Amino acid sequence: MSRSRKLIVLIVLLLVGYGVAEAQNYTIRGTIRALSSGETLISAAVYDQQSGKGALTNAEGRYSLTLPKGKVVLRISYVGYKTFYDTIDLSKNEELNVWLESSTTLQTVTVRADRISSHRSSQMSAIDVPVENIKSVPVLFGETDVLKALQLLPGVQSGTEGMSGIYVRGGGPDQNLFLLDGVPLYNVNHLGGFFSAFNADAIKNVTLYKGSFPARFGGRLSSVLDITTNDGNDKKLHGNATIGAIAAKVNLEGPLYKDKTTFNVSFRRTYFDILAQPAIMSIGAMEDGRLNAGYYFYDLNAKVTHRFSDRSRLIGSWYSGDDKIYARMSYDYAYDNSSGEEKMKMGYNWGNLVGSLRWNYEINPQLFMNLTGAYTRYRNDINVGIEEYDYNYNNVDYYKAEMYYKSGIRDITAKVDFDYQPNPDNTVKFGSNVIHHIFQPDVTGNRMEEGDNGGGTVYDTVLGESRVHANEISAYIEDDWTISEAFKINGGINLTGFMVQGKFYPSLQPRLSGRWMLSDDLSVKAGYSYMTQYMHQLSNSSISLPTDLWVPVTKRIEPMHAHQVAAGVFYNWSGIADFSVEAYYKKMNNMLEYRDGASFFGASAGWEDKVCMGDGWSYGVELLAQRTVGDFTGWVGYTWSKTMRLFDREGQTINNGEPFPAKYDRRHDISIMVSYKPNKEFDCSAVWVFSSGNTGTIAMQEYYDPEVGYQNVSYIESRNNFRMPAYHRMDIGVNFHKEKKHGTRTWSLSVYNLYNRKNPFMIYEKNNTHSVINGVHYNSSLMKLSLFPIIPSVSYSFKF
Amino acid sequence: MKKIHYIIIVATLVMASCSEPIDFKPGQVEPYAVLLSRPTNDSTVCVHLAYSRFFLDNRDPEAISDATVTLDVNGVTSVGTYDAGAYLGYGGYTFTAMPQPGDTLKVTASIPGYDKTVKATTCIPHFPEVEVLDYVIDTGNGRTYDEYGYYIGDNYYYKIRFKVKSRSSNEFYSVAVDHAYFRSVDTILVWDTTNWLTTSFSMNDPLVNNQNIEDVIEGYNGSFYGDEVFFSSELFQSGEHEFTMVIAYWPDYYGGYVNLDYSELPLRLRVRSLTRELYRYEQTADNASYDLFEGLFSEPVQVICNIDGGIGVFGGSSCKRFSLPTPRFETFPHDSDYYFKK
Repeated sequence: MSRSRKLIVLIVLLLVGYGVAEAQNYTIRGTIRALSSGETLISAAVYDQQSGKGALTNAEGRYSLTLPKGKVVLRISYVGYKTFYDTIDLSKNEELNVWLESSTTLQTVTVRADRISSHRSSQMSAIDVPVENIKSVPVLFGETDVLKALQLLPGVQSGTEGMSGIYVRGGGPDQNLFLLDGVPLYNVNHLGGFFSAFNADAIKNVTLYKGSFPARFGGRLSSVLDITTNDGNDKKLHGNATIGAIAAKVNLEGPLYKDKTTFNVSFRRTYFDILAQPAIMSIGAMEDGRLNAGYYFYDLNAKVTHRFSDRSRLIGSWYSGDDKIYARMSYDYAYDNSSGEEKMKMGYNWGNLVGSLRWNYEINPQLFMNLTGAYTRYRNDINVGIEEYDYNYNNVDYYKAEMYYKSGIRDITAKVDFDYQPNPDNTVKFGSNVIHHIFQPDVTGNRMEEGDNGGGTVYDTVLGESRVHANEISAYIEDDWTISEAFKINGGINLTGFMVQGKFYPSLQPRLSGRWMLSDDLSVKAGYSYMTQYMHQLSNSSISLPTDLWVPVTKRIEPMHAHQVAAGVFYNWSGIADFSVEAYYKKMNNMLEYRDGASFFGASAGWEDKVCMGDGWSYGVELLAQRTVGDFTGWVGYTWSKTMRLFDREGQTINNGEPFPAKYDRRHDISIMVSYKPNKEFDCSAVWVFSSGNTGTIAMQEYYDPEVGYQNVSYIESRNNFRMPAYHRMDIGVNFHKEKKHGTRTWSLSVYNLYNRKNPFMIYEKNNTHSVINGVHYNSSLMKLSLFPIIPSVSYSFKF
Repeated sequence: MKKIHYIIIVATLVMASCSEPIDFKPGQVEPYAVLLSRPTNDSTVCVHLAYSRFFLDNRDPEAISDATVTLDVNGVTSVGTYDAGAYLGYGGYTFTAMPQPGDTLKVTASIPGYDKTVKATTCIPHFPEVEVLDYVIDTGNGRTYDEYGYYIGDNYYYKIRFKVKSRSSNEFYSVAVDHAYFRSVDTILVWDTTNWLTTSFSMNDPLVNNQNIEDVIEGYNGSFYGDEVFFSSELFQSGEHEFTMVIAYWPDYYGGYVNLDYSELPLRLRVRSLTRELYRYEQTADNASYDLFEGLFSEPVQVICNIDGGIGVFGGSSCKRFSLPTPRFETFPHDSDYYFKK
């Protein structure tokens, strides 16, 4: 019997076994929503105090709890909401929908919510971050940023100053799977990485997995960021408008058809291009021409949810976000017998588009289905054009040139996911998906036309890689199994395959994590996961550039793999605070780096020749202490880690085949976040971060070889041989809320980099100065460039 | 004031306001002894020794003249004599040995005040197997006029086709072209075949394209252009590969109108068979000397050295030169309509 047949038989036996086991049980199911908005709540805890069994709501806010016949004392809780209790005499399957009351509507300001703490879950290396926590973190230019908030968590590192890319447990920025309502998003940055593409006003919940990945996730090595957007208020129209230092945002939500259909729309756009227009136009006027130039980005999130019944919902969601740089300049001239005009235009657009349609259907009390169709597109387009006309007597000489560059990736996805709870001790998830990828590494086109009245000449060329089509399929099954009161495991497998250029890459990825309760408050957990990634992002700069190419595995470039093991101790202190210590080790294979001297400049044709394949490993310890209830909330996180790379394969060596530290190898990372909310009118927060400096490569020695050239030869002893000065800064934020006749207005003041620390963004050599260091005279010096000094910002928002 | 000036002023102000010097600890980076020597079959061995310098120090590199340098060729040892004029005038230790293909060479240098012994080993590889297939001159390169519009002469393309045969897929080569200089004999200029200069050429071949970092950075995604091209036999089909190189010449190449007959320009092809260490050094050292935007937009280049106790290269090569046959002449140098007929 083949392996796949054995697997199918095993699954069938498992399901039949579950069916037998459930004979004396009944199921309570339903949806948990916020009372004020009707919004479904993700990961709300549903707990039977009688049996000690519990469950968490899924991404649709649905729960299903199968319990033995008899008395059930339900406790339903969610952070920031009043806990709900109910007693049921369970003798049949029950439907129990609950609307939780927000704690902010209570007169008492302290929340002491009972909750199933993370120390009880079998999942480790995962963090649920309520969006309200994200909004309370003070950030650059006052612009709430999901990824910058996540950078404050242990095990998650930022790139360089101000960048919103994340580096999780030694993995690169392309090893993070960003899921927006379950659909992958490729470019999550705006403005070269200074802002993320996620508008916090549109987001309901954020969950970050750093390791011990459940089997339902795959496709990336290092992290999964699962972001769910708001469905929309089903009671009445609500809105929120914000004017900040660099961007304006508006959010509208409400019922389209009461209790049936809701919508939620959010739009954000920066406006410094508009504010700068007078200055830009005056520059053009000084040149006796016309200049119109600028840069902006925008995000549009839209979601429509239609509820056919409590068992069936259809959800359509849309995201589009683009960055645009534009410049148009024209110039006229006139002499005695001739006149002319010159025009120049430049456009640079990059961004994402994601559309999805999802159908949630509860097949029976134990079985829940999610059927999704989605389309994702990331594009990166550059257009440059010049036109020159010279009118002399009756003749017209003209010259036109246009160049364009296009790259991108498109995905068409179909997937089906099932949640199945056959008995109180097992929650099974299984499903499958198919993705058709269309990669366009790059295409460059040039068109030139010149001539006069008598005719002209046209040159037209197109260069670059043709589209690469690839198909990715996967199937998974996982079970969250409560073996005993103390012992619980989450095990599963993810089977994937990737077909490209006639080559098929299969991968069977086992996942396992377990939890052992040592006492009611103390648990230990351990996990193992094997991940495979079939695409790479080529990047050779610390700056996240839109020109970074997404490329698939090919006949020559093999998929990346990662094995990760992690173990930790988790402690919950009287329901008030959580403490955890996690240690991990991750081994990565077939990672890509550009070869020595290679650059993303120039066409990417033949990109496979520019890269080397190698390995990497990372290990570390993460400590987290957090308080999530009370007036004072916040956390202290510390990470000690080491991340190395090794490129020693024949013909693909970097650093002479010796191990070297990764660019973002940092020994220490500390983050402290404190939030204080004494009443409804006022709240404030502060953040302090510290991290060891990034590594960099500097040729410390030079010499002259007359047979090589006229310049000195720079000798680099090893890759990433230099460490920048340590990074640290403090940010503070204060919000003043006031109830008005039609809603609540909020003034937000924030200060980024409070004590004006000049953190290093890059290091460069400055010549022609004279300095004395340790008594030695030097004619050059090493300069540290900082980007952001102290930056105060203010924003105003009105919520109705 | 042009808009670019505004941009530069604003960028400078931003850079100046947010940058400050780092207190770098130079004591952590001691200088290396640099040993440079490229033994070949047609010259005596010369070894250059110098100290590297810290990259923030702009003083001239310091040659080492008081070292004891020994050379071992197939077990026969000799001591070098320092000659300040050797090694292109940069100073070096000279030996009388002229190694031949198959010889093994070891060099050792003891430098007073330098706590390591500097040593390296190389060999002289076998001669390259090369066959010149074809040599053609073409005037399709346009013509040259002086500043008053007077016709000076046709421009020339020299096209050389040659084949390299390898014994294995792990052999390394370099190719260059030398041309004769000229001298005056009774006020008449003639070619001087005792005085050769290296000239630039281009090649459009997948084995050599994009091997210069400049080509990649500046977006020339195509043919090689330079003085010497390096390649390996790794991708040779059936153990051999055919190359075509093109040399472009203008009548005013030397900055004046020498009125020499360029159709008779003496050219010779220079093909070297390199050791692996020399091949890797030449490729990386050339790229390491090129730095764009302080390396912000390209990966750093590590020079691959083979010197124990120091840096540099001790790499052998064997060289063959091929005087090119009298070319087939295809030009119509005095036909003014030639260019348009083409």
